[in-house]
Amino acid sequence: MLAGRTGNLDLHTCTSVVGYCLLPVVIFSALSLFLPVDGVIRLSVAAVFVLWATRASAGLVVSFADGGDEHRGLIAYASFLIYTLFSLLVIF
Amino acid sequence: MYSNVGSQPGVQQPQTSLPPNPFGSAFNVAGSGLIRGGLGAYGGKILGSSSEYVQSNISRYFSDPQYYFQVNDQYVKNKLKVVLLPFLHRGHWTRITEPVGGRLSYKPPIYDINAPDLYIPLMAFGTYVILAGLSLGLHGKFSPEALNLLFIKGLLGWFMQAALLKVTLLSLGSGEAPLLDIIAYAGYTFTGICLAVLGRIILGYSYYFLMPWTCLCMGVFLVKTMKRVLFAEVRSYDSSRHHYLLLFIALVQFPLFTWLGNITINWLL
Repeated sequence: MLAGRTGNLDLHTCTSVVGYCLLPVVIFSALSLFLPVDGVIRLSVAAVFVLWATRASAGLVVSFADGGDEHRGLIAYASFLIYTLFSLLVIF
Repeated sequence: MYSNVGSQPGVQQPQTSLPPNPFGSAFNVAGSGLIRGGLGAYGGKILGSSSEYVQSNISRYFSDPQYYFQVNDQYVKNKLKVVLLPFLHRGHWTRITEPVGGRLSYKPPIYDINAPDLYIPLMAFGTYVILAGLSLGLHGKFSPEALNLLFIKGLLGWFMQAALLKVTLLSLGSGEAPLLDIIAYAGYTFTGICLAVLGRIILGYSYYFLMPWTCLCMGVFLVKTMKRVLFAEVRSYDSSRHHYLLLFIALVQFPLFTWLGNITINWLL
C-alpha cells in the first residue's frame, strides 16, 4: 500500500483489499477455538493463515496497481505486518 | 468481478485505514483502532510537516511525501545492506543531484542508494511493534494494552532520535535539511533493533552479540550520513567540533538501542 503509489490506486481500493484478505485471519480466529493451547501448533497454523492472507492481498494489489509488479515484495511485506498483528491478537 | 468503476485518484494519502471487523471481537477492535490511530498520527505528522515546508522559502527539495515512497525491491535490499553493514558500503555517501527547473534537486530513492526513504522506517517500526508483541506473547505477558504501550515507546524513541539529529545539525550551523529527511534517517534505527529483538526471540544469547553490533552499525551509518549532510550545507568545515558531535551521535545510539530493545511492560526501563 505505501509503496504502490503509482497514481491509480486510491485509498478505498487499498482498504477494500485489506478487508477482503482479513477473511483468512477470521477463519483462523474461528479455528483457534478448537485448537489445543499448545504454542507450537497455534504458531504453525497462524503462520499458514497469515501467509495465505498476505499472498492474496499482494496478488490483488498488484493486479490493481499499474506497475505494481516491481513493488510486489514491498506490498507483500506491509500486508504481512498487518495480518501478523491481527494474528497476535488471536494467538495470545 | 473486480470492475473498478470510476476509480478517482482523489487525495493520495500515505496511510491505510482498516475497516472495522464485522465479527466484533474486542481484541480485533482494539487492534484495528491501534493501527488506525497509529497510522493516522503518522499521516498527520507527515502531511503537517510537508505543508509546513511547502510554504517555506528555504525549501530546496520537492518536500512531498511521494518523494520518500518512490522505492522498489532493489533499492530496499541495497539500503538494508547499507544500514545494517555500513562497513561494506563501497563507493561514496553523497546523494545524486539533478538540475530541475534551474534549481538543484535530489534524485528519488529509486535511483539513488544514498537517498532517504520512509518505506523502510515505517516497515521497520511496524516490525518492531509486532516482534515486541510476539516476544511478550511467548513469555505469557501479551495484551493489547502492552502492545499500545510499546507502540508509544517506539514513537518516543523515534522522536528522540530525530530530535538528536536535528539539534546536532542546528548546533553546527546548518538547519536546512528537510524535516522528513531527519525523520527518515532516525527511522532506520528500527532496522537494527528489529534484528536484535528477532535474535533474542530465536536464540536468547545472540541478543547480547547483536545489540552492540547493531548499535555500532547504526552509529557508523549515522556518522557517515550526517557528515555528508553537513558537508552539503556548510562549506566552512570546523573539523574538531564536527567530529566530536558526530561521535556524540554514535555514542548515544547505545543507550537508545538498549532502551528500545528492552521489551517489558514497564516502559521506563
